[in-house]
Parts: sequence; C-alpha cells; structure tokens
Amino acid sequence: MNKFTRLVIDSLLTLLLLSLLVLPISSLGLLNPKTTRSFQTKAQVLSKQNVRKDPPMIPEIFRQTSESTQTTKSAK
Amino acid sequence: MYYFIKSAMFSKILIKLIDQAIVPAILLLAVRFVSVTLVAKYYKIPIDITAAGFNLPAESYARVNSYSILIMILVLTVGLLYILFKSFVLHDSHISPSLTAKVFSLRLSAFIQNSFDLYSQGAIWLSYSYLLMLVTGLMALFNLTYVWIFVTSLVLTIFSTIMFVLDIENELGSKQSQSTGIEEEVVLNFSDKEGQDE
Repeated sequence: MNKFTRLVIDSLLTLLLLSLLVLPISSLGLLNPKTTRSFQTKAQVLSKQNVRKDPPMIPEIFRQTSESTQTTKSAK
Repeated sequence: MYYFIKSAMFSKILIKLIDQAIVPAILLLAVRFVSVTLVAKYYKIPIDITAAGFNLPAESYARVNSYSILIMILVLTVGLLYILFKSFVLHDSHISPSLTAKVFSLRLSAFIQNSFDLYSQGAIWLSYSYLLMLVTGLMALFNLTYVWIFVTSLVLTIFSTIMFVLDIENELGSKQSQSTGIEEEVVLNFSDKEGQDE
C-alpha cells in the first residue's frame, strides 16, 4: 500500500475514533431549558413598540383643541 | 470488523481503538436518553422531545441534568471497574496458575486477555471519563449542573487513572524482571568457568 494512501486512511480512522469519543459526550448538550420567560418579555416589548408606531387615531379637531388648551394653560 | 479490516494492513492500534469505542459510545448515548426521560418522569417534570433535543422548564433543568449525568458516571464506573478487574486479576501476564485452572475448568478462558486488548479498552473508557469530567466541570462552572457531580466525576477519573498506571507498572516490572533474570544467569556462569580454567 502507498504511504500517502495509508496516511489518508489513518487520518480518516482517527477522525472516526474522535467522533465516536465525542458523540456520547455531545449528548450532554441535548437538554434545553424552556424559554417561556424570554418569549413573554419579547412579546411585551413588541406590543409596546406597536403602541408607539400606531397611535390611536385622534380626529384633527380634538388634537387642535387639546393643543390650544395646553398653550393657554402655559400662558397662564 | 476488527479481524476483517486487520488483514487490509491499516493501523492496527487505530482499528482496535475504533472497535473498542463503538459499544461504550452507543451505551452512553442510550443511557443519556433513557436517564433524562426517567429522571423527568420520576420528578413529574413535563418534558418535550423536539428536533433540537429535550425541552424542560428552566427551574428543573439543573436537577434533571445532574441526575442524568450521575447515571452516566455510574455506568462509566461499572465499565471501568470491570476492565480494572480484568487487568488486575485476569491479565494473562500475571494471572495465578490456580485461577487459570479454575477459569479453564469453568470454560471462561475468553476472560483471560492480553495487554493489547485490556489497555485499548482501558484507554477508551478512560477517555470517556476524562471527557465527561471536562464537560461536567464546564457545566458546573455555569450552574448547569451541581458541583458535587463534577467532584464525583473527578474522583472516578483520578482513581481509575491511578489504578491503570499501577497495572502498567506491574506489567512493565514483571517483564523487566523476566528479561534481566535470564541475562544475569548466562553472563555469570560463563565468566566464572572461564576464570577457573585459566
């Protein structure tokens, strides 16, 4: 058998051995905590952003009146 | 598998190590899956099995993880003790003649193994022990498991390493004494006779 071929086969066998060694140990990472809390906070943040983006529709007349009252209050 | 590939002139040690690593790898993997399920069932913790793995409530994560790793450590201990028993008692280099006769009378001669078989098995099981200790240490550092689980793993690893080193020393010592004994006898006899004749 050629030396190069043997080297390649030996390195492949080493990789196979390492993967066999790591395989059962990697199963330790299979457990995941449920991320319910983080989803809740994410949902809350998203809902707050929606409130900011889409303010309730206030008719133009009411907005003007509220602004005028605010200006009168500040003048006083 | 070993005897089939051995004839193709690949690295004998690598093939032997791969051959010895298959069974403990499958065993430990199965133990992890079964132990997680059983521990969760015992503590009545709801558990979901998804493609990403097991999902369980965050507050019971450390408990399930720790007891599952503990069961893995127990299985590793049984495997290591079995190999240590074979290497100390049933090693073909230093097995007692009376025990050899008993083992052969019970038709259990397959349990008497040579150093190559025993040390390849020992190397594989010790590697698993070291890897488990390393990962458990990291998990304990990040509070993903209890610290005493890491200590248990550490004790097992240190104990089995010391026992294997003692057995290797025993093996090397017995071989060295055999070889030096014969040489001394030959050299002394020839030199004395030649000196007397002259």
